[in-house]
Amino acid sequence: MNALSPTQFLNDAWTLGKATDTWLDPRDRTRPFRARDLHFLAPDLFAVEMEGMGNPEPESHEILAWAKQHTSQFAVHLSTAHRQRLFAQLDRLHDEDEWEEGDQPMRRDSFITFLHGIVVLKPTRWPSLGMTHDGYLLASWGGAVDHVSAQFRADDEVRWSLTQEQAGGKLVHASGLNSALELRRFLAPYDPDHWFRAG
Amino acid sequence: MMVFAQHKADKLTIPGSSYARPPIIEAVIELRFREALGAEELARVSERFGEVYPDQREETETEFTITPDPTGRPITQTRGTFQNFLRASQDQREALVLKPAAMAVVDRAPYAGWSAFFDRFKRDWRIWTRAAGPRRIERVGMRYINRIDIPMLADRQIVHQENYVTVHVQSPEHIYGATMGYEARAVYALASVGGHFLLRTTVLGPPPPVPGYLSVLLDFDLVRETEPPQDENDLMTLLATMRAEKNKIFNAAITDKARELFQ
Repeated sequence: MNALSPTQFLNDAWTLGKATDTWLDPRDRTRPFRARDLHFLAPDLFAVEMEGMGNPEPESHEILAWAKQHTSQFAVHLSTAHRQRLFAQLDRLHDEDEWEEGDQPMRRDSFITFLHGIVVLKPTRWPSLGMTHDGYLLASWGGAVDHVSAQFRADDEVRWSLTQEQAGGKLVHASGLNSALELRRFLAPYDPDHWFRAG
Repeated sequence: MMVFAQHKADKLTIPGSSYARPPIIEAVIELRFREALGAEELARVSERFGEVYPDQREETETEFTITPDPTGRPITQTRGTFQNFLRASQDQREALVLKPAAMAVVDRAPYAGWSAFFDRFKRDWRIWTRAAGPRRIERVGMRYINRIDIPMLADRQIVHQENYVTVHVQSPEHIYGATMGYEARAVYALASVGGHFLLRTTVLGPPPPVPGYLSVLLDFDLVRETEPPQDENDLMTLLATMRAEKNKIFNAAITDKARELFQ
């Protein structure tokens, strides 16, 4: 299978979402998604193995409890509303009904990078969340056309991809692999606050 | 030589006891008992908390002693293996730890405030006593772990923590250079609670736990081991006194500049 460009991924992911109701509707940011629905669209961003389907791993419960406990370490930097939304998203991502055999629970190192990213980006608009088949957390801000997506890797590493709609409807696409701690700097040319800041 | 620096509390403004964004990472009230519960009995007690703490996990704790042999070589001896029960609310913010000879009520950040925390302790204490029966208390402890996240300027990785905390390690920086990190521990008598308090402070990292911030930990552990109260009213009075002392201790450990971070 050939890897798609980030442009194709973003466009196709949205098309897929509309068709299968698996991608997040930007108007309903509470619905998480699994990247197994997207892996064939962007194997570069969502490299997942598809063999095996079944129930959550036993450690799923353990990782959820850990993630919620770990989030308490960042309580000063998260609003109550964002914290509650995050927990609801994590619960749904680990919901047995949404689980297929071989799905891995969220990776701790991915979640730590995500929290670091949130502290650095300071978004007042909370992202849609998803997860790759192998447990990496995904976040997406924006709408059908103009948005930024990120996959949170170990050790503060973030793979990101964006489409920005400029004046006259011109679309600019970009992607990168950077430290979460420097994400804001790398996104700066694209006016990131139009994704991250509410209203 | 490094010294443990403590500014005079009378220079500080003592504000009200609540902040909009309290730096409390974890608050714990722990009771230890003279007699241990058996494994089945403890499991039964844990079941009684199922309604208020739906999440339950078990952990195995191994207790051992290390004693030197005649040549000074350490000999490790296992004293026993115990099953503990960790119960929590769905969001893991409220937690309860049940051990054979101890119970601890835990409040994780965002801290709910003393009133809610104390009410929860009273509720849990009553559930525990109804389930386990009267037990002799050997130790009463109250611990507050605070983490003060001080924003770092973009171009500088060094923060002068003395502008934020009054308890820190002071060193001859004109020779050593700026203090990058420290760790300190001190014990003080606390007559008002008939016990003592332990203070631990450290600069966390590197790397810092929160990017872009210097995180200073202020951990206070207030303890009463001598003739701890056995009567419920006396126990609650002691805990209220401990909490008032904790507030005084904390407020003396931070500056007004730190307080601004919590507003």
